Amino acid sequence: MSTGKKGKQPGRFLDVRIPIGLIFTLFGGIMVVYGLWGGKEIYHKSLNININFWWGLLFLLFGGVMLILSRRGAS
Amino acid sequence: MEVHIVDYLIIAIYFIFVLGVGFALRKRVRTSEDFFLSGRSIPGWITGLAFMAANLGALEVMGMVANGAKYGMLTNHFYWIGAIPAMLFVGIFMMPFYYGSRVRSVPEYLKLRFNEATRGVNAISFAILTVLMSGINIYAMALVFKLMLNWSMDMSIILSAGVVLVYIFFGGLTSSIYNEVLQFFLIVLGLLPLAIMGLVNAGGFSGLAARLPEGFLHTWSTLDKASHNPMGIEWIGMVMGLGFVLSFGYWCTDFLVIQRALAARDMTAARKTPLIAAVPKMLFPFLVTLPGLLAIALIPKALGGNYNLALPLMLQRYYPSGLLGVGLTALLASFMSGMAGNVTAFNTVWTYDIYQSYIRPKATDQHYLWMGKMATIVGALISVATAYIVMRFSNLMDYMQLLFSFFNAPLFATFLLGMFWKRATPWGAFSGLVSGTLTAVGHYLLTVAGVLQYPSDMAGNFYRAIYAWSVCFGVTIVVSFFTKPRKEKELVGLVYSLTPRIRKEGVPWYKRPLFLAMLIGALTIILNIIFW
Repeated sequence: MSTGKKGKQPGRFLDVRIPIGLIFTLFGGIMVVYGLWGGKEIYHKSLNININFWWGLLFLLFGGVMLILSRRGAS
Repeated sequence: MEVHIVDYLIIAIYFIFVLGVGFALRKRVRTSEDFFLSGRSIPGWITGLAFMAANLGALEVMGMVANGAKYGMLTNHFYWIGAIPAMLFVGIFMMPFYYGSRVRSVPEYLKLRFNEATRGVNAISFAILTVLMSGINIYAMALVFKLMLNWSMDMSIILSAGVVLVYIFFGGLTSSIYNEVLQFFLIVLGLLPLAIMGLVNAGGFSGLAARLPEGFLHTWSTLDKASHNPMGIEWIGMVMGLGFVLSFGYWCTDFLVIQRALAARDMTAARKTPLIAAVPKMLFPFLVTLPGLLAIALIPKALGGNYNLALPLMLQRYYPSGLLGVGLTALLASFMSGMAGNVTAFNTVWTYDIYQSYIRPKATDQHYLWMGKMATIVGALISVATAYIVMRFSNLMDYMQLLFSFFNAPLFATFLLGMFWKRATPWGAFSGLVSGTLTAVGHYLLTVAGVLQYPSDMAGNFYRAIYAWSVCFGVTIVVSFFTKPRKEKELVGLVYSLTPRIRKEGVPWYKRPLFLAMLIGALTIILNIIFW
């Protein structure tokens, strides 16, 4: 039934925080750039807030924290 | 609908990442246990978030927003009474038997505790249930693609099922779990701006209340009589039907979620899995019920009674290009996590509990690994076929509850007696399970024929669950007194009274699962009082 593997085996498994950190950093970067240089008329939908810029910043922050945590290696 | 290149870019990046995770993990899958149970090596916080996300399919997100628009804050009962108590119970009381007995699936526990026949009934009904559920996810996903991107239903169905199939095929359960964690964060952070902007636009809670039908912001105060609330149910049906039978039946016995906990690296991580999942679960109404309420208040004309589309329509209204891509990705993520949860549970139950048990018992491990991969493909194909069946039902959640009341509701009685009453016999469990399921089917047929009448489908589902559970519970006890129980020494580690208690002397009190469970329970009670 079981192969009896127990405990964490460092390096054997991909750290899930790396893909999470990368995708949020990438999404955040795209949103911030689009928010700064894209057309502004689309923001009448979002109550005249440049939601791409601000939510993009939040994504960058979250992605960055995930990447830093993965570098530290603590789970 | 204005979807720009930036939105497609975001969606494309998401597809690349989920496929990439599956591909990166392909070399880590060497044995069948790697494929089906991630080699039992995952930390608790990851399995916990995956436990939450596997349940976040089309139903949770689109269906619960739909319910929010249709029933108001009564929808919160699906979380606060219909999930949290059962999640705490499974973590504290049941996980020691699931994880401690080293079973590979829920049906396998039934074989060890009872007999082969009970396992067979459960394995087959569960395999059917999961692929049907998976179909709901694919259907909902295709619906959104059609509405928002104007893609054909057929193409969306093939694409969405195809991506999930590929990443599970390569990376097995680990790939599914890792993607579920990624998807969890995308869902939460992708949908949060909707609740915030909607609430700002409505003028806060007081502004929202002024635009809603009376009672829509209450969870308990309209439950005194069935005629006082849109769900057509009173508190006893809610507490017993949803809060007890359906909820415990799902969270405590459904292999889809239990499988995530079985992948945890040790007993503490396994017990904490549902407890960690309970934290976001408790707060999820703000992400789903609230947008449903906002849809009724802010875009009633666009909605026009088509509740299932409440979420896509709200995204369309409030999300500009850029964020829209993120919102669509959140929807895709939810559908994929739901479907992947079903497919991984299906391939495991099929391979271990049906194929290995009845078709080919003594093959090599590599053969079962191969069979698991084939089952992944076949499971995805059956799900696609099911997606077309789902199109006939108007409310996804009602459909879901219907199926649950057939299978899960009686099953919880079997587990409760199995784990906490050592006298429950194999044939008692078998006859109870079969008669409970038949009761549910019979009750449904009588309802369809008009012999039994309920104010709403939902109320019918809740009462059907109560009857099915009660019949299973009663029949199991009665038959157990007339049949032979298993020897006590065979039941060590499987039954509460015959298993030594877990003692973790080294862990401080605030890190113990029981403390975490009590904390979550207290917070849930406070939320119920605030939104009374």
